[in-house]
Amino acid sequence: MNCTHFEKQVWDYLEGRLSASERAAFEAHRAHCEHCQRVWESAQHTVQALRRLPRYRPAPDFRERLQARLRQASPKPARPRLRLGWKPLALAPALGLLIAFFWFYNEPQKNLTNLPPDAVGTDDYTEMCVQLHETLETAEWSPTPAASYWVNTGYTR
Amino acid sequence: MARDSVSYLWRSGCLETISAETQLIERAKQQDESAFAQIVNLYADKLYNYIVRMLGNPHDAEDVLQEVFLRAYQGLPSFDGRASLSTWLFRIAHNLCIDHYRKQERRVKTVSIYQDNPDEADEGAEEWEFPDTQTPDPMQAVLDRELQEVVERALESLSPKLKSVLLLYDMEGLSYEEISQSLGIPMGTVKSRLHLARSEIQKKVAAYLRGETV
Repeated sequence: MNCTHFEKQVWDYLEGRLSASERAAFEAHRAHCEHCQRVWESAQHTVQALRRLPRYRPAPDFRERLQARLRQASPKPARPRLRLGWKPLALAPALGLLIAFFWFYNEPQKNLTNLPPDAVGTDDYTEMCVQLHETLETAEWSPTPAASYWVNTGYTR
Repeated sequence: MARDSVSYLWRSGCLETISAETQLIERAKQQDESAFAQIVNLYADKLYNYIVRMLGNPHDAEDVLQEVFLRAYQGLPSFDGRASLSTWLFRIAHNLCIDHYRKQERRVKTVSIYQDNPDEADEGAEEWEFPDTQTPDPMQAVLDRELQEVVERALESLSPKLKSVLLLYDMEGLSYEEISQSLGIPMGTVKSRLHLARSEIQKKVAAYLRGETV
């Protein structure tokens, strides 16, 4: 046993947590090491002093004051605990698939067959932009657009 | 084996205590005021001592203690008995102490309430208990008192994390497992913090024993 090992074991020794062989090695080291003898003495004094520290007690009228305060308070009803653990996590993918299925099933289908052949694949947004540009080109310039401009173009922010 | 343990516990009176405590809790849950008063009588002193030592201030400690029992009273219907009552109460007390620490962090008193403020200690309502005041040798009594003051100061200078473990183990007699449950930390952490806390105090005790000014 060396001094570092001794210092690590000193608290366990004082609490009687060492085995017989550990105890013997500890005592043998203490007997011939002056430094560890001092460590052991100071540790012993420390534990003794800690256990003999004076205790504080609340004022004698504490209980009456507490009782008065408790009378104003009422106990809260117990909250039911939800003890599901990890099981809901296992159900999450299945629930996601179910939602996706219903969403896909209820999505209104675009009836592409009734559209003229050249309209198929037309980008509505591009068409709207072209129309807007045409309107702007023919319109008289004005610093603030007339109300009819907003109505005719259907422009919204 | 399990039956042996149960019979041993029964013979040693532990099970009777556990059973009595369970009955007390059940009665208190049903708003039996006398049962709750018994719980207060059982734990007020222990909790108060812990809170005063943690905060270093008896005046704030009484407010915190009232809050502990108020929360216990309100939370008792939710108490499921997985931890012991004492562990549960110490956990409430510890959490309130930490809240108090955070509020007061910028104006923590570093002066000793025992040495630098004797008047305040005298006028306070707390009572002192000196277990070993009848030492036959007066010189030894003086040395013991000095050593105790060294330990008091060393204890006050510890961080709340180390101090809480040390107080619960060495002053309140809780086991490693109970401290682990009260503070919500692993048992290995309890052991290492206890070792560190004691070593911190031991250094100051060693310096005092060498005749150095601590």
